[in-house]
Amino acid sequence: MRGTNYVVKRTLFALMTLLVAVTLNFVLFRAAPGDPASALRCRACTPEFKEAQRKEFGLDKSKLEQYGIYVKQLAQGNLGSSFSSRRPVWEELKDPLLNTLPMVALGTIFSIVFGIASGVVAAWRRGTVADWGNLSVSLFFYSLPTQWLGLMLVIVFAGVLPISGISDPFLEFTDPSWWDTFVDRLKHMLLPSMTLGLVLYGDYALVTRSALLQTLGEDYILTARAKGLGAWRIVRRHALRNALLPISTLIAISLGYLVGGAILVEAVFSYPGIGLEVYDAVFERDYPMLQGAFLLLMLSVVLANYVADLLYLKLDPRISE
Amino acid sequence: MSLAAHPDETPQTPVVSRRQRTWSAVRRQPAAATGAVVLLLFVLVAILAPYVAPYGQREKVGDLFASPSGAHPFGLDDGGVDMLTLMMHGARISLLVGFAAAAVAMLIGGTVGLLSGYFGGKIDALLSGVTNYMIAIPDIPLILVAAALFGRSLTNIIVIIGAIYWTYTARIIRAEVKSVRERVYVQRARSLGASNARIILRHVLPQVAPLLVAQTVLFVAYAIFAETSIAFLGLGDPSLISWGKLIANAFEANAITAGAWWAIVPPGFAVAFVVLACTMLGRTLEDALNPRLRVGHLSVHRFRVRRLAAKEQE
Amino acid sequence: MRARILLIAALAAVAALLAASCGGGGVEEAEAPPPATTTGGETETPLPDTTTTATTEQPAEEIERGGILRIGSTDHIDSLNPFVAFNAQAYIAFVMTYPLLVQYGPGYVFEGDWAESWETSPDGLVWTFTVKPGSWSDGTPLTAEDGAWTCNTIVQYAKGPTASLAPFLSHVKECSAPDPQTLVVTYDEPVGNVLPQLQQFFVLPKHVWEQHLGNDGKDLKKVRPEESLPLVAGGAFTITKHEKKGATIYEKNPGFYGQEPYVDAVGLQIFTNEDAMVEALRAGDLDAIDELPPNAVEAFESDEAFVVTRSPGFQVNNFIFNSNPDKTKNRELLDPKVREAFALAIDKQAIADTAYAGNAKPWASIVAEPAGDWLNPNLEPEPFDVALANQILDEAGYARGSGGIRVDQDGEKMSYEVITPTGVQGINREFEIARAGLEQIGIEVTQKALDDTTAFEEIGAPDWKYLDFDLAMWDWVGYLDPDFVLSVVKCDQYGGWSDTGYCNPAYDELYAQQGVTVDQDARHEIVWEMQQILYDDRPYIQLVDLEYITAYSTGWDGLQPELAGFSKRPWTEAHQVAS
Repeated sequence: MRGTNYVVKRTLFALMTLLVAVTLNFVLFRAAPGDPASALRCRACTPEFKEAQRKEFGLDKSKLEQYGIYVKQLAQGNLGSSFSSRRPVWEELKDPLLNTLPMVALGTIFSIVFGIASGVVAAWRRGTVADWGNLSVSLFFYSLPTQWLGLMLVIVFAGVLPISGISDPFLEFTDPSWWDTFVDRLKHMLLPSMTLGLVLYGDYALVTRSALLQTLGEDYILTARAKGLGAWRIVRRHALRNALLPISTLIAISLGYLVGGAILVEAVFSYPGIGLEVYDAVFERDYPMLQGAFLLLMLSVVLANYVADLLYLKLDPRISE
Repeated sequence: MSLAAHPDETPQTPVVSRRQRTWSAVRRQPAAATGAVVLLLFVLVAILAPYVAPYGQREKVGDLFASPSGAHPFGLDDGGVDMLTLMMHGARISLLVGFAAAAVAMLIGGTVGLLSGYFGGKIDALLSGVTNYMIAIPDIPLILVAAALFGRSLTNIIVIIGAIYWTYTARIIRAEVKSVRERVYVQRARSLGASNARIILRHVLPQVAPLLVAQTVLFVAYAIFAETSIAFLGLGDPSLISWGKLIANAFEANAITAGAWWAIVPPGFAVAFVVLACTMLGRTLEDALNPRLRVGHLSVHRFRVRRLAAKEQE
Repeated sequence: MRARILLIAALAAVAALLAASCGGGGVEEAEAPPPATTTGGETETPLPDTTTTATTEQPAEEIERGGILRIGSTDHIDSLNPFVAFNAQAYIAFVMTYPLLVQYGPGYVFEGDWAESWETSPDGLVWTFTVKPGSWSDGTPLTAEDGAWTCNTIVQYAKGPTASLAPFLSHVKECSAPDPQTLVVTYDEPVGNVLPQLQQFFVLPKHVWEQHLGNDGKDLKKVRPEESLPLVAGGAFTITKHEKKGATIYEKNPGFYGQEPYVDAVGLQIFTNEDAMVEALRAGDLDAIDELPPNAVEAFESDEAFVVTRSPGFQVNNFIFNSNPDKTKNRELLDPKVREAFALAIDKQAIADTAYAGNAKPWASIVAEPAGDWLNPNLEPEPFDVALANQILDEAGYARGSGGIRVDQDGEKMSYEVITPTGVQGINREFEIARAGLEQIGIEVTQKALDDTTAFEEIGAPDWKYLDFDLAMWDWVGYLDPDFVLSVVKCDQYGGWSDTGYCNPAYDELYAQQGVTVDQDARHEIVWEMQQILYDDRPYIQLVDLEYITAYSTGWDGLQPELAGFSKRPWTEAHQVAS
């Protein structure tokens, strides 16, 4: 069956990519100039720690053996230990990852909402100022540096919304309810997400617009309009369905990249996500952390693309390979 | 995707008609023309900056973060240096990085795409594999790590940016080369015994060149973005002023607290204008030369989002 | 940073001086004690002026108990292990959470913290402290035995694991606790600055730390109190929550021997971005910031809702040369002529004006301005003179090579990396000014920005042998007494406080001497001579002395920022005022 064939192909591709990503990761961090093996560069470490690292990662063995050990450890979920904190890398990356995900998700929601709204207006009023205006604005936002837009939002909203951190660390002293904590978190997430949303909604706007343009010209739409059906109903019922596929795949792919790409936003808003972890690890020369974070980021990209591929299958039965 | 979409292709003068098509496309589309003009303007300013800039780029001419005035329309930065001067000098580095990195990406991507598309088979499988897999790597973190590992000189930054983004070009060129390879005159040249190198250089490359150029123009946008990101994260060349560095400086020097919006706003707008100009110009060129890409949605050249497997290309 | 520690040490030193001449007797915790004079009849070191833009009210009226004092800072606690930490913020934490025998009171006069009173033997060798009863935050009684154990442990491993705390117990032979409320400190020589030193002597809980003496004491440095919170604390507060890059929560220690704090808790929130920190203060999410960024000073001084405090600064920024005589590469940097040229090529006034918005002044000594008479007045900051610098290098035989960069005797380009810690405010601008100046004399430098801990380790690499690095930039925060800041360049501070690898036995001898010189005039001479030696040898180019500026909201009082790190008062006496 064509569908199964496709799924198998995409699964194999995802797995292969993963393998290559894992290998690339291994190579990258062993390739640091003037550095035979990352762990030995660990200045923060006691001799005992270094020795333990050497044994655990087999750094005295050949590169091939090291690679084998590396893969085996990955399979066991062992990403090594951070040089700065000596704690397991996964422990250190867990929370930041969980911090980034909702922020990026909210950002994507903003993108979708702005994008669809903009795209619908543009398509509906094709050729008019509304069309051209919407496209220009969305393209303009798309062209702005992310961190700059974040700073602009800081200027505008300082004092109204929190501009740093993930939550108010002193909130617990006011005996907050579940709702209070939730709202506090949301408020801190708002500006970073909105920055992401504004900078990326152009994609969704364009996608929506062209999908709609394709359908809006069709006969059955004209018939519906002639029959007097409301504009929004027409759009919703028929035209948007056409946009569903490209939008879904776009979402899936974006999320994969956003996890790592949110680093700029996290730097501006001091939002302790995985992007900021990578940033800190760079200044701390914490190679195990970098290696682990990289792996997670690549994993998210591969996963996201895989999901996008499957979505393609589900939503577009015309797939033929 | 069929090859039938080239009705005006004639074997005798394919190159001319492509060039004509490109040029008329730019002329006809006001967006592209505007883009070209804007880009040209910025390039001019960048080139002439040392002669045209009103003050020195390290010269303290007033109070720190002085607000805009007649003598200083963009105000002064956190070192008391004239912002307009900094913007002009910044243009040099930003555009230099943009064009140079794009050139690197074009070189690598073009070569990979050419070889991959022309030879097919094992070479194609290998190169395509590498291309596809490189896309899985998150760009900004990789740039960060590379800059931290290999040093922060301008050359390094250019090479790193180029080495990360060549994959887009490679894909598109590969597809294009595949189609060109089938054309009649190429077949004829082969039957006449011309060597592969000769065919690639004499026949295939000229066909593909305009598209390559279009891609490169788009890439300038990517590269400038990448440069602003690197500079912001503190890993740019510290002795050089670029637009990205200006934003970073303002951030570090608490421009927001000091109320000095003029230290932040101009660089962002400048980047946006150049990026927009490149996008409009590049897209128009691309659309004109490669109608298959005129799909409108999920275009592969979305700069922040890349697909692992571009369906349109395979 | 180490600066604060120096600050604390300096104040401690002054207090020691004052107390030394008195020869014993406790000082009551008075509201506004008259400045004590030394029996030697000499003028004391002028006390630093602190100006505030609002008057400090007497704590008696309008005190609101309770609440949490929220402080913002960009200086984080690098470690909760006193044998490992070197950041000023960590030392403030230790001052608050551990008993100190003495502390500074208002007007920088010594008063007892844990000590009720003290006596000195006639020969000045035995100091007997009567300590107040109290308990550790885990309920264990706090006794003099904890003090004796901590003291003896530090002394025992002073050459190794406890090196960073050893300067505060110099010349101590041993400590003992004849009864739970009496701590006896025995010196092997009469020391001139006992109290200033002891002001930084943190008493640790014996029952917690005595298990970590393995490996010849090295295990002490492996302890990570962060992982077993709440901290077992004997001071005014204990730490219940600690996120290195987030917030640290200090809660009242119910067993505290002193005056119960007015607040319930103190929260320290670390910011990586100063704008966000300033904004948080403005928005009321913070009550105080411990260091107001230079560009925000004007705005806050004109805002009635906030108090801006300015005090003469104890922080001196510097440019560091690796001065290890055994360093292997780039030995031309050991050449005094090269160092002189460097010093002439870095524009200190520009740094003061640009990096610190004028809230700093060019400086010449490792000792900071508030130290008063201890500062050698004959030392002048090197002028900015590129022409002279070029001349010196030309005459010394460092010819210009390609690209205008000079080459050394081996023909190698004079191009170096400068390590800079990300934790020093304004360091990027500072570096840029230095770089631009050095470029004019044909020296090329590139910045290697690292986080504080990593930077310090990179300087000491490999394994605290100081062989790898060439140049760095950092700061020292001095104290009123110069003892501590002068001690950081001693040979025995390799792996301790040293960030230069400097080792000069003659200097070390002078240091030992001033430590036991009770006559103030004589001690002044020695201290001045030591500063001259450092000036001539130039392991550091001193750059600027920063003014210490903080801000807090008018809804609070009793914060006494000038005592930060020197006393528990800033946090025990901080309180909200009824508005």
